[in-house]
Amino acid sequence: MPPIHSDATILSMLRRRGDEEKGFRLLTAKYGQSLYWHIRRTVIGHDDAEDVLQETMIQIFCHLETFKGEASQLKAWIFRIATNEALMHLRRQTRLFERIDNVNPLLLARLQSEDTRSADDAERLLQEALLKLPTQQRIVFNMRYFDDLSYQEISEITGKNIGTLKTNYHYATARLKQFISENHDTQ
Amino acid sequence: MIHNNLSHDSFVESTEYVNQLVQRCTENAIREGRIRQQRTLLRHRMLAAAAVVTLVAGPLVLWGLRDSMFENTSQPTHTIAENAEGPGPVEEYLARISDEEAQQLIVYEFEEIPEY
Repeated sequence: MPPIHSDATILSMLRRRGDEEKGFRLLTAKYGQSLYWHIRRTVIGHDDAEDVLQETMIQIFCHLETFKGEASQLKAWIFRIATNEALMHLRRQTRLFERIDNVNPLLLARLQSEDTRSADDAERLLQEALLKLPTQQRIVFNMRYFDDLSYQEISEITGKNIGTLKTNYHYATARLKQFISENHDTQ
Repeated sequence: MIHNNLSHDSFVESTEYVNQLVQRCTENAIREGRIRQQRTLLRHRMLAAAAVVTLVAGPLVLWGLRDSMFENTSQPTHTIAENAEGPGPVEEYLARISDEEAQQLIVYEFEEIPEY
């Protein structure tokens, strides 16, 4: 297994002329999996996730010079790009003036058509419950629950204050529990 | 990181598959990123060149057009006869012929042209 470099090492490489590509490869090796699953949980479909991941990486590479933050902010920066690309992808599937949450039924249908033979009922139910949430709430929940990001990092990614994020997470959890308890008994 | 394992189980794609996907996307991103950077650089250079050409050529074009823009059209134009040096062929002929012949020319001019 290749060694995992610290963000400080990666950032110094990204900022050194001639080493940008090497630094970028280390960055994607470290965060590529997390980025993919973060995107996948937002757009659901694998093909869509692949497209969004590709575009995310292109945007990261093209804008490396514009990142002026510290090493501790690097992860939040790339996740912000991934989140924006995923949301733009969902936005493109809605009509003009339509809310982005209107795409959730489409995502639910996609989830049910995905090959989830390795998933148990609880996992499937959780994913379906997540798609009942508003998109922004779902993304916050995913980042907190699955990506294990801190509220500070989520705040840097979404631009929302920590208090709002905690409230969002609390409401999301409550709604998920309610949905799962209502539907678990019927299965 | 137990939560990530739970989410991974919901989908088929294995860790190894995703790793290969990430590597592929990385190389594509580097290649595409370089192309976009060169395209942006070229666009900036073309804009700069267009600005320079406009700044240089603009005044030159205005300078060339200044004569036609400010030309005085109220002065009368000179006829060819007035500009020519010396008497023309008509004047020379009239100088050679006698007064009688010249008088007949004038009469002939105002006579009715006979039909043949």
